[in-house]
Amino acid sequence: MVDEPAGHGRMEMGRRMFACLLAGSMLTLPRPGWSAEEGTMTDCRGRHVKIGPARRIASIGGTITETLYALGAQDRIIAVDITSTWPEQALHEKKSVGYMRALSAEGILSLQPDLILAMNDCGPPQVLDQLMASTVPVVFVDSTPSENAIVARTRFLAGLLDAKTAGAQLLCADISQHFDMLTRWRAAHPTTKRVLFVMRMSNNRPMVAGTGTAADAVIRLAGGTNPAAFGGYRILDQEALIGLRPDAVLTMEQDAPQVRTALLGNAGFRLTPAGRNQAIIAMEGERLLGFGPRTPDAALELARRLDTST
Amino acid sequence: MTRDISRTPWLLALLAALLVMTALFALDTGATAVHLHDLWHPATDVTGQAAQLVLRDIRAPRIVMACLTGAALAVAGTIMQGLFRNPLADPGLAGVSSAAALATACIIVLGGSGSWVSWLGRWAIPCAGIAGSFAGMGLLYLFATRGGVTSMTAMLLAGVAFGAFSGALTGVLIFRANDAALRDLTFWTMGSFSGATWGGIGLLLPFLLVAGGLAAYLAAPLNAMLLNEHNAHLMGYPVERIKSLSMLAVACATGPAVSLVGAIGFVGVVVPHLVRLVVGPDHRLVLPASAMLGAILLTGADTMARTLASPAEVPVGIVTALLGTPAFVWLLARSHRTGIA
Repeated sequence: MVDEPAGHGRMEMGRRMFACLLAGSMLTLPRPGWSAEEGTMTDCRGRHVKIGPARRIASIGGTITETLYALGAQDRIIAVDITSTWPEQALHEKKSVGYMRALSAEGILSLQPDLILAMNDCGPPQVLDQLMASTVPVVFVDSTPSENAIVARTRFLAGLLDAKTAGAQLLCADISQHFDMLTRWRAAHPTTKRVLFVMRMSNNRPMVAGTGTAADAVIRLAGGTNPAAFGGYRILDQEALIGLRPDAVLTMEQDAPQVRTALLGNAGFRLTPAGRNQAIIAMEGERLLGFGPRTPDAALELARRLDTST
Repeated sequence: MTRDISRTPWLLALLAALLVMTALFALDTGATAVHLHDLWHPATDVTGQAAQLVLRDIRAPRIVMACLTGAALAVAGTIMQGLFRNPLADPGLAGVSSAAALATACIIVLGGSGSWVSWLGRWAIPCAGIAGSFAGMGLLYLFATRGGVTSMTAMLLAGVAFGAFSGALTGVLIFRANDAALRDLTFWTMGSFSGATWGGIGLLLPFLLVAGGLAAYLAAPLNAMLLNEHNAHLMGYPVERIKSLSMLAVACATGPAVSLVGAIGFVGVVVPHLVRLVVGPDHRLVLPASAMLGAILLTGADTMARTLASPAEVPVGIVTALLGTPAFVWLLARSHRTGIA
C-alpha cells in the first residue's frame, strides 16, 4: 500500500518520458512542422511563422475546425467560417467570419485572435496579404484531399497546438488504425464496383462528381471506381447516366430523400445496375468529403456498404 | 427649368462637405475598435501600430476605392442616360459590364492554366476585366457605326443582344466551373471592396482621370444632345465625336471599376435621377453632383457592408440593391404622378 504512490509516480515518469520522446521525434520531423527554434512553424506555403500560446484561434475551413474539435481544442477557437459544418455546434457557439473565400481582414482582426489557421485555398488573396501584414500569426494548412494529407494535416495541427497532449496521439493513432483497417478490408474484399457520387438533383437531373473532387478521392479510397471521367461537377442527362453504368450511387445524407426519390423516378437510372438494385448509399457530407479525422472511418464504412449492397 | 441657379454652388459645396464627412465617418467606423485619434499614438506602441495597419492598409484603401467607384459609376450612368436620352440607360447597356463579367468568369473558371495568368497573379482578373470591357464597348461601337455615323438605336439593341450573348457564354463557363469557382463568381456578381488595395487604386486612377477629363468636356455638348442630335449639330457640336468620346468615357469609368470590385448595381441608374430631381437637367451640374452623391452613397453602403454582419462581410452589391430598389420604385412612382420622367 505504501509502495503504490511511488510505483504510480514511476509509471507517470515513464509515460512523461515517452511523451517527451514522441514530442522530440515530432520536433525533428522535416517540413511542415516545428522547427528547431522554439515556437516557430513552417506552414504549407513554406512560410516561417512564430506562434504564441494560441488561445484565441480563428479557424477558417471546415476540416481545420473539425480537427481542432476532435483534438479537444474547441475552447481555444474564437471564430470559424461557414464551411465549418461539423461538429454542428461549432457555427452556433463560435463567431462566424463568413465564407472562407470571401473573408474580411478587419472583421477577423476585430476578434483579436492570437492565431489564424486557414485552409490554403481560402481568399481573397488581398485580404490574406492584409492579415499577414498584421501582427497576428497566420498559418496556412494544406488542403489536398488525400489519405496522406489527412494524417499530415492532423499531425500538423496537433503539433501546432501542443505536441505533447495525449489526445493528439490518440487521434493520429485512431486515423492510422482506420486506414490500416481499410487496407486490410480492401485486401480481403477486392471490388470493381463503379460508384457515382451525386451531389444533388438539379431540375431532376443528377449533379455528379468527376475527377479532382473530394468525392472522387473518397470513392477511390474505399476501393471503388468513379466512372465519371470529366473534371469537376457536371449535371448529367439520362443517356449519359445509362452510359456510366454505376453499380452504386453515393450521396449526402442531408439531401438523400430527394435524391433517392428523383433517381428512382428516372427511367434512365432504372436501367443501370445501381437503379435495378436500388443501390443508393447515403452518408453524412462533411464526414465523407471533408478529409478530416472522420474521413478514414467514412471510407471504411463506404467500402463495407459497397460490399453488402447487391 | 426655372430653378434658382444661385442655389447650385451651395448645393455642390454641401455635397462636398457631406462627402468629406461620410469618408471621415467611414474611416472612424469598423469592426475593430480603432479610431482616427489613435493615429496620434506613436508608431512604436501597440495601439499606434494597429491604427496604422487598420486605418492605412485596410480601411483607407476601401474608402478611397468606394468613393472612386461610386463617382465613376454615377458619372457613367449620367453620360449614358444623357446620350441615349433614356432614363433607364446604365453602363450595362453599353456591353461594358457584361463583357467585364465574361472576361472575369474566363479567368476564374479557366484561369491557372495560362502562363500569363500566373504571371499576372492577382492582377489577372482586373486586367482581363478591363481588356474585356474595352473590347465589348469597341465591338458594339464598330457594329453600330456605318459610314461614320453611329446609330444610338442600333447600339442600344446590339447592347441588349450582346449582353444576352455574353450572359450565355458566361453560362457555358458556369457549366464547366467547379464548386469553388462557382462561389467566387457568385461573390463577384455581388461586388465587394474587401480586396481593395492601394495598388488597385493605382490601376484604377489613370482610367478615372481620363473619364473625368472627358466628362468635363462632354457636359455642355450633352446638354445640346438632350434636345436631339440634329439640334446639337445645328448648335455647332461635332455630334459623332461626342458620341464616341461619351462611349470612351463610359468604358473608362465603368470597366476598370467593375473589374476591380465586381458588379455593383443601381448606383449608375439611381444616382443621376436623384440628382436631377434637385438640380435639374443641366449636365454641368448633374455630372459633378452625381459623382459626389455616388461616392457618398457607395461609401455609406460599404460601411454598412463591413459592419452589419461583422466579423463576416455582406457583399456591397446586396446593400446597394436592397437600398437602391425601393428608391428606384419611389422615383418611378413619383415621376408617374407628376409626369416628369
